[in-house]
Parts: sequence; C-alpha cells; structure tokens
Amino acid sequence: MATFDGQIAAVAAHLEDLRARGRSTRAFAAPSSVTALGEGLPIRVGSGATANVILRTDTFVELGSPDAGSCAFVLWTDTPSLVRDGRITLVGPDIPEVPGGSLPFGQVLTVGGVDLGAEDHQSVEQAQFVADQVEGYMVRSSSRNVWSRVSKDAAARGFCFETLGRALMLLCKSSLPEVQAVEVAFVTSGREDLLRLEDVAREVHERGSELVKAHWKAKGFDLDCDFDCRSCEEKKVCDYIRDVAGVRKKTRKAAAGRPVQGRRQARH
Amino acid sequence: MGMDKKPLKDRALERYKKERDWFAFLLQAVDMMVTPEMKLQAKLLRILLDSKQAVVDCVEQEKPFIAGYFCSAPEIFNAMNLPWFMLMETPFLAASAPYILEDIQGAEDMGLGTDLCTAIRLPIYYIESGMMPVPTAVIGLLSPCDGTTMLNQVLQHNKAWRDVPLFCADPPYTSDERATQYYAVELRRMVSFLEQHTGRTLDMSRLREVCEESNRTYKLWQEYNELRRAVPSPHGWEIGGAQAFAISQCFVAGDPRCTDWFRQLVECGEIRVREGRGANDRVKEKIRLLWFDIMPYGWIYEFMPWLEEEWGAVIVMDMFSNFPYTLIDTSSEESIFLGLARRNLMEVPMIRQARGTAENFSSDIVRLVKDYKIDCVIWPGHMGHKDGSATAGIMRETCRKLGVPFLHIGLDLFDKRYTSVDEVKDRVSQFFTGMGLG
Amino acid sequence: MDTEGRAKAFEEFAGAAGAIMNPAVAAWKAQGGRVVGYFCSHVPTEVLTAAGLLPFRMRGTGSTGTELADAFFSNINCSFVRNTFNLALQGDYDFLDGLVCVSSCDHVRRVYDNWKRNLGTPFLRIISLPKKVEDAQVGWYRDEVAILREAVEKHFEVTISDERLREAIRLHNRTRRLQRELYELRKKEAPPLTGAETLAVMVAGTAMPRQHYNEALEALLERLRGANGQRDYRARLMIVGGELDDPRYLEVIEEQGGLVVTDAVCFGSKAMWNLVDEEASDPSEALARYYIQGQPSCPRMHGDQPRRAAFLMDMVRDFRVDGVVGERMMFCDLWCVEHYMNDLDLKEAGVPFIRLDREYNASAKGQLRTRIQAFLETMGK
Repeated sequence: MATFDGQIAAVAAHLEDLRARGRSTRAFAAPSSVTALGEGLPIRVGSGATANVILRTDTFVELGSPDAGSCAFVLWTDTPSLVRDGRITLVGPDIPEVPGGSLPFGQVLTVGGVDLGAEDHQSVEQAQFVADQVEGYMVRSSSRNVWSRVSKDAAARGFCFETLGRALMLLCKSSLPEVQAVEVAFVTSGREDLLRLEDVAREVHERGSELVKAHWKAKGFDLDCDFDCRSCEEKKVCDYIRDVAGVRKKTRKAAAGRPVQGRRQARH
Repeated sequence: MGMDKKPLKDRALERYKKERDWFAFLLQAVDMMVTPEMKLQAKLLRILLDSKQAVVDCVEQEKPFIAGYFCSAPEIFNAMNLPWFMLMETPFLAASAPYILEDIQGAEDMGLGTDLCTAIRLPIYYIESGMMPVPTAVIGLLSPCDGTTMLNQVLQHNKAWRDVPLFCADPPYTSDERATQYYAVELRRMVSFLEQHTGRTLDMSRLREVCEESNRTYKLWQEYNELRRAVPSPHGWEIGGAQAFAISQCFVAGDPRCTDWFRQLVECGEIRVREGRGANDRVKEKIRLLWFDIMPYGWIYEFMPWLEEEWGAVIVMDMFSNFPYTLIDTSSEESIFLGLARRNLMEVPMIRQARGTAENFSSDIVRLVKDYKIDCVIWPGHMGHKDGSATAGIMRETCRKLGVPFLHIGLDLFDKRYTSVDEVKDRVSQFFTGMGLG
Repeated sequence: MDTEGRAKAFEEFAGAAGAIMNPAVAAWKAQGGRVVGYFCSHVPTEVLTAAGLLPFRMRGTGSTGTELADAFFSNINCSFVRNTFNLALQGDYDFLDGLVCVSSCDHVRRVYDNWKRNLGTPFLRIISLPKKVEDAQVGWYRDEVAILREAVEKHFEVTISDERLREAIRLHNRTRRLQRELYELRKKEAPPLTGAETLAVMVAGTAMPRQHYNEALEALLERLRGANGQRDYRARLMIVGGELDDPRYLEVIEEQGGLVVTDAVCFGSKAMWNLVDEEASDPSEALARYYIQGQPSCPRMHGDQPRRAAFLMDMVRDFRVDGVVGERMMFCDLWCVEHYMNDLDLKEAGVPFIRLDREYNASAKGQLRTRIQAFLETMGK
C-alpha cells in the first residue's frame, strides 16, 4: 500500500535539502536484527527500563519543548525497499554536544513490512511513544508531540541519538513482528527546519484518520472517531476476575525483574 | 429562618463570611504545621481567604464584583481586576461546611428533586433563600451538564437576581478549529458584557501579562505532574492534585502568587522523588489509583486518609489534576482569545470530558494509565454526572483493553447519606481484594 | 362519532404510536425507501425529508426491559434512553439506514457515543445544538444544518437543492398546520378527542411518511370537525414536560376524569406550534432560526425560560385549563428545575400544578391514578 510513500519521499527530500543547505548531517548504520540492536547499548531498553522520572536537575538535555519546537510522526509502507533498514540520520547537534540545552526535536520513524496494512496504522503510530522503555530517556506525559529528557547519568554513559535510534528500532521490531525495516531521522538543527516536517505530519495525521475510517467503512461502519473498541483483540467479557488479576500480577513481576525485550505492546 | 428580616445584602453575606471565617480558623491550625506540604496548604488557604475577603469588601463597599466559573476564562476576570466567586463554591469547599447536610435538606424541602446534582441544588437553594451575595454581574456556565444550564435560568427567574446582568458563553459540542473560533468570539462578547456592566475595561496588555504569568504557572504545573509519575508518587490526595487546579483556575489565575506556589510545589515534589519518599510517610504505596472525577468533598476526610492508610492506595492522578493544557500563545490579541477559548472549552476538567462526545473519557484514561503506571481506575459515579455515568460502559471497555481494573461506585460526592462512607469503603475494599491489588 | 367509528378513525395513528414498526414504514422500506432515526425536537428533519428519507423519531415503545442497555448506561440515566437503546441492541432498530442526534440532554447525547461503538448503523451524526437562543447561535446552527445537509447528500448520494429543501419545509409546515388545527378543536367546551388520542396522532406523525400522514390527518380532521365532543370530565388539564410518547400515560390520567386538552411536551405542541419561514431566501437559515428561536424551546435553551413560561400561560388561558400536570422522567435535570420554576409561576398565577416523576414504562399506574384523583379533588373538581 502506497499510503505514505509520498511522505517518505518528502521526508527524504527534506533531509537532503537540509544537508545541501549546510546543516550538520550524520548517518549511522545500525544492525537489523533485534538481538544485535540491543547489543552494546549503554542503557537498558524494554518495559520498565526507566525506573523513575528524570528531574530537572538531573536533565542533561531537553528535546522538543513547546518553546523549542517538536514534530514527531511515523510513516509506514508495505514496500520495505523504500526504507533503509538500520539507517539513523541526524541533522543538527547530537545530545552530548549540548549539555544543559533545550533542542528543537524532529523525529521521523519510517517502517516497512510487506504485511503492513491500514489495520496496523494505530499500532505503528504508537511505536514512537516509548513511555518508560528507554533507560535515561523520559517522554513527558502531557504533550501530544514527543517532548523528552535525557538524564545526566545516561549522557555520561554515552547516550546519543544513535542510541535512541537503535532503541526505537529495537522496540518497534520487537513489538510489531510485521515490521521488517526501520529507519529513523532526527532533526535538531532549528525550529524552522521542523516546519516542512510539520506539513508532512499534518498530511500523515489526516491520512491516518481517513485510513482508520475507511478500514471500518469497509466493514459497514461510519466512524468519525478513530478510537474503536471493536479493533481490540481482548473484547470478550472476562467472567473470571481473578484471571485478570493473575495476568496483572504476572506482568508486574516480569516488569520488576530484568527488562524483557520483545514484549508485545498493547494494541489500542 | 431568623435571617429573613435582615436586608438581603446582609443575609447573603452572613453565610459567606461564615465560610471565610472557617477558613481563617483552619489557617490558624495549618500555620502551626511545619512540613513543606503544610506550608503550601497554608499559602493556598491565604490566597483563598484573600479572594473571599475581596468579595466581602466589594459587597460592603459596593464595588463591582462578579460570579463566575473556573472554566469561563478567569484570566480575563483577573486582568479586569474583578474579584469573583463561584456560584458552586460551597459544595466544592464542602469539607469545610458543617452545615452542608442541613443545606441539602433545605434544598430538598424546597422541592428540588433528589436526583438533581447536589452541586446544583445547593447554589439554587442559596440563591432562592437569599444566602448568596448578589454580584454586579454573573458569568454563567452552559456546560458540561444540564444542571449548570438550569442553574442560570433559576438566576434569571429569581426576583432578587432577575435584574443582575447575566452572560453565558455558548459552548459548541464539537472540538475543532471552527468550535474554537466560535468560542473565542463568545469570550469577546463576554468581555464586552463585563465592560458594559461593571465599568471595568479590559486592557489587552494586562491580559497578555496575566496569560504570560498563567503560562509560567502552567509550565511549573506540568513539571510537577511529571513528578507524580515517579514510583512511589511523591504526593497523593492531600496536596498537589486538586489544589493545583483550584489555585490556578479558581482563585488566582495568572497571578504571581500562583506561580510562586507551584514553584514551591515542584521543589517539594523533587525532594521527595529524590529521596524516594511516597505520598504517605507512614504507609508504603501499594496501589496507584486514578480517581477519575472530582474529589468527594462532602466526606473527603473520612475516606481519603483511609485509602492510603488501609490499602496503601495513593491517588496518583485525578480528573482535576490532569494536565492536558496547551500554553496560551500571547503573540497577538487573536491568539490570546483563541488560546483562552481552547483552554476553557477543551482542556479544563469536566468540561473537557463531559461537554462534547465521549472520546476524552477514554483517551484521557489511556494516556493517564500508561504514563502514570496506574493500577486501577475508579469512576466514582457521582449522582449528578448523568452523561459520565452513561459513558461508564465506554470507560470500562477502555480499561479492559488496557488490562486495568475499573470500578464504578455510584455515590454523591457531596452528600454522604446517598451512599454511606462505610459502603463506599466496603465496595472499594472488595474491588481491591477481588482484583488482587494491594 | 360512535365508538367503533372513533376507533377506526384513530386506528392507524394508534397503531403507529403503539409500536416501533408500522405498516406505513414497512411499505416505505419495501419500496426501497430509507429511514433515518432522530432524537429530539431540535433536529432539522426537513433536511432528511428533502433527501427523500423518512425521518423517524426514536422511542422505546414496546421495550420490556433495559438489561442490555444497562451494560452501557447506569441506573441514574433516564429510562427513555435506556429503553430505546435496549431496543436498538435487540435489533428492533435494524431497519434504520441512519441516525441523527443533537447534543440535547446529558442522557440522549450519550446515546450517540454508545451507539457508535456498539451498533452498525451506516450513517451516524451528532449535531452541535447551541444552548442559547440569540442570533449568534442561529448563525452557528445554520452552519450545522448546512454541514448535515452535505453529509446526507454525500452518504445517501442525493442532492438537496434549496428548492427541495423549501419543498420539505412546506410539507412539514403543512403537518404543523394540520396538527395545530387538531389542537384548536380541543379548545371547545366538548373537545372531540382526548389527550391520549391526540398524543397518538402526534406520535404517529413522527413515524410515518409525511405525505401519507398529512392525508390521514386531513381525513381525521374531516371526521372530527363536526363530531360530538366529550363533556363527561371533571377538569381540563394541561400536561407539560419533555419526553412523553405513550398515550396510555394520558389514558390513566383521563380515566380519573381529567381531560387533557393541551400540552407542552416534545411530541406535542412544541413540535408544531410555530412554522418555519417558507419565504426565506436561505432555507438552511430559516430552519436554524426555527429550531433555535421559533419553536417552543426545550429547557436546555438558556435565556428562553420567560418565553416558555409565557407559552405555558397562554396555553392555560386559551385552552381554559383548570390544572397543569408537570411530568418528568426520573433523573431529568432539565425538567426537574424547569418544573420547580413552573411551580412558582403557576402558584403565583393561581393555577393548580402537580409534579409527577415517572419512569419510561408506565408501570406505576396505581400511584398515578391516586395522585391525579387527589389533584382533581384539591382543585375542587
């Protein structure tokens, strides 16, 4: 499905344009497999990796605050060849270069998988919200965009955008088995450099809403909301309350132990 | 009542002064406490007292003041230097009103249905009984519920209030750009109304200052709410939750005292997070709870401490502590009004969830459960929240998908006779036990 | 009119009011016609008619319980909504091709949210109804009417020209005029029809193809104009309230001798007392003005209580009403407070008033009888 192929090309063109205009541009090559992605990272990745919040005084750098600017979205395609698997592009300063700073933050996740379709859109979209799954990296609760902090501790251990990129790839591939290729781009060079991405983000959001509506329209339902309980796999009424409690207990036990990679994200 | 023979003005002020005096008494007690959190409570009480005293002064000195609401752009009231009070103040401060049950009975005796929200019945009772100060003008509310819409109509019907100018901004049901634009125009009409009837004018540079101060406050509030994501949460029901909302919206919107309060709140919270201290120093946090409604102000002291002490259940987040706000763009007059429209139509609590379609009931739960590591969600099911209770099924399904237990109780947040506190405790205990929590 | 003739005259109307599906709707569907349900008096149904659709006002008629709906609503939600939604969950509303709601009251507006998530009705809309009655709100609602119009056109693949909309307005106004004439007959000392019969006729008007209904109503009026009326009653009553679609409720009242000669209820006079401007250059604006400022409003419309009160008093005067019965569905905040104010106004005017809370399914008939008997006696009737 060529739903976002145009936007994929647009982002690539924008990054190239920034490079041509003299913005500092770096590319990193990350491995493809989930196992390899997790090797050698300076921080833990997985459920419960970040035990707690990162306080202001423990913040090494802030990314994407409302003052600095933020734009984050996910693109997907069923033509994996359009996605340069493992490629991490950074336009602008890297995390270790701006201690105490507040950077504008553009983050584009591009994922490819032959089996990806409209029904995966919401799950794929959720992949960018990593909650507490990257140690030393906290995505703040209240913003629609990605507004995040990197802790001093993580920075001291070498946390940089390559780390973050690999973490995002690892989480994406382990939670969405249909994903075969992931590419990540970060833009921190300036608020004005996010403007073109914001245009793309708007298109993606509109197209995403249409996809969900069309998906359900094909089933005979007319939605004006892309949150639909009928997409949930666990819709059956649970008669056994203790089963629910049991599942909950197991989940919490697992989270309290070593970080578990590859845990499937809840589909919403 | 013996008050009947006194002039309306005096009668109306008598009850208001009683409430003020109660808080003054409470402040004396709180002032003697030394913890940083108690010092914050004391500060909040001082601000509350100042706002109440301002109203008293206006009545006695016949200066303009208004009745308004937290969701009617109080930044504008502040910018116009208009002291204001909320028509529903007493039920929200019910914990401090020992006569509240008597008043509820009075409302029933007056013929108001017992299925009408207590928070609506009480102000109607006070208005009809002449126990509420008559302001220069009223900014009424038409959302989130039927009750608030009817309250304004009683005002217009009441002989003593009939000639008090009343304006209500019309709330569209949708939440798109068109709705924001429409509401921004309604807010401008509100300003014209206030200028006409109070003699005060709105200076846009003053409004800009107030909004910028409000933004500073809100940034700190946002920072503070991040702290509550910590495990254990540094604070529970007693501080930082609903008080954050009260001080930023009800008492001193866009005021440096408010920003100062939040600054100290953040500092308190950071210390506790750093030290790994939970909300209750005596009891370990075992259950992280989302209380998805107003606090049970009518019986809060009988219930909330019990939750923590008995179960280690900490209210990490509640509907009024939630921070979905966007900062107001103060670059132009238009952007300020649009920002205020957005805030008051789509972001302030209860209006956010209950005004329009039910999406925010579910989307807020999803975000809060994930971000705050919530173990269970309680929808108290206040008897006045008819639309919310009609959304209980949606909330339940949302929680089921999240794998988080959900409890719908059915109670009156202000009248403990509706569902006794013991019964509520029993229901909650059964819920926690049944879900394997705590 | 003899008893048999009377029964026959009202038969079709009573049948339509006494069930959800009726022969006229069945025939409409059989011919390929489409039906769109709607909640509330403020929905601009002319738009649906102009699209060639049959607007069908939602009811819970025939519902025997709310077990299914109670999984979504709660016991503090109005029984009208729960019973209606229960019927929908059972499949009784599967014949609908669409549903249009307005943001009316706290209970009804949540039907939209629950319907959306649980039922597969292809066309589902909620219109943002203002809460004030000023010109600015007419402007907003005009745009909402236009948006609805576009959505209907797109979904049902029809064109709603201004001329078609005007035609629909004229057709609906014809209905209103005929219904108004029916009410005028009740001003007589001996009204030729009861309140229960009137309500059946009014409810039927929301459940039948418009042209067919108008013809049937014209035929009924023909029979009633010269008919002998009812003299055997103790008092002339007016019923005021919101959702009341069950003639049996009025039958119980009238069995006690209180003849219901007029009303101000959603299915009654409020639906037809005034007319939409047929001459307006912008029919969408004409509809908006009617539904916001024209028709007697719902209590949810702020600022309009004086006009509603005046309407009530005019009715009392014009129909020579002896006493007013204020009915309210339990948990309806709007009518709780509206009746509180009605009580004060009517007391001041010296008009006896009784407030009756009820559930949708008229189960507590004994209690109702007793209260009406007592009311009549207190009036000295």
